[in-house]
Amino acid sequence: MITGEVAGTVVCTVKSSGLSGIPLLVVRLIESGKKAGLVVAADATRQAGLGDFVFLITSKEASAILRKPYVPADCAIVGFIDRYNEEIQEDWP
Amino acid sequence: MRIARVVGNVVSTVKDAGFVGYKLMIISYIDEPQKRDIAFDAADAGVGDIVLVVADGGASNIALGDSEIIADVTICGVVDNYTLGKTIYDCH
Repeated sequence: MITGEVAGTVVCTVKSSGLSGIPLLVVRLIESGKKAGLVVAADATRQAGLGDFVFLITSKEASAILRKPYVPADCAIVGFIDRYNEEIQEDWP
Repeated sequence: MRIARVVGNVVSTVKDAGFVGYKLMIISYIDEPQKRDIAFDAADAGVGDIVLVVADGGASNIALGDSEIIADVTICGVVDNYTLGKTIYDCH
């Protein structure tokens, strides 16, 4: 699973029918403090808002976790991060 | 499967119902040291351990012994040592 910060929303009326009824949010991916890309994620928790530090699940598990049939999603917000403890910084031995 | 190193952990209370009870560890892969991923822990790995990671939903269900959970990346083993070319890396 990857981590990121909710940066915006996406409104899309003409779309695949499976995606209807699911909030689509723009998430700025963050990897150990550095910005690492921008994805559109379906919000499985349905509680995410701007500025939330969330973690996302990708690939076919994203459409499974939305618990709705035939959802063509490959990235879904599944939880909010309370504490992100990264204790080891240096590279591989 | 891939070799990775556990570099930290994540605490999350508001998450998918199926995730309750599993540790979330931050891992860094051997071939992509800069990339970070969050993995479920099915092998009681601690921070700093070199671990074996599987990245498929079905395999994660087997590793975690839980058929309902929807997980993708899971730690399924702690590596004692591995060889790369002629050098042996001891992981303890």
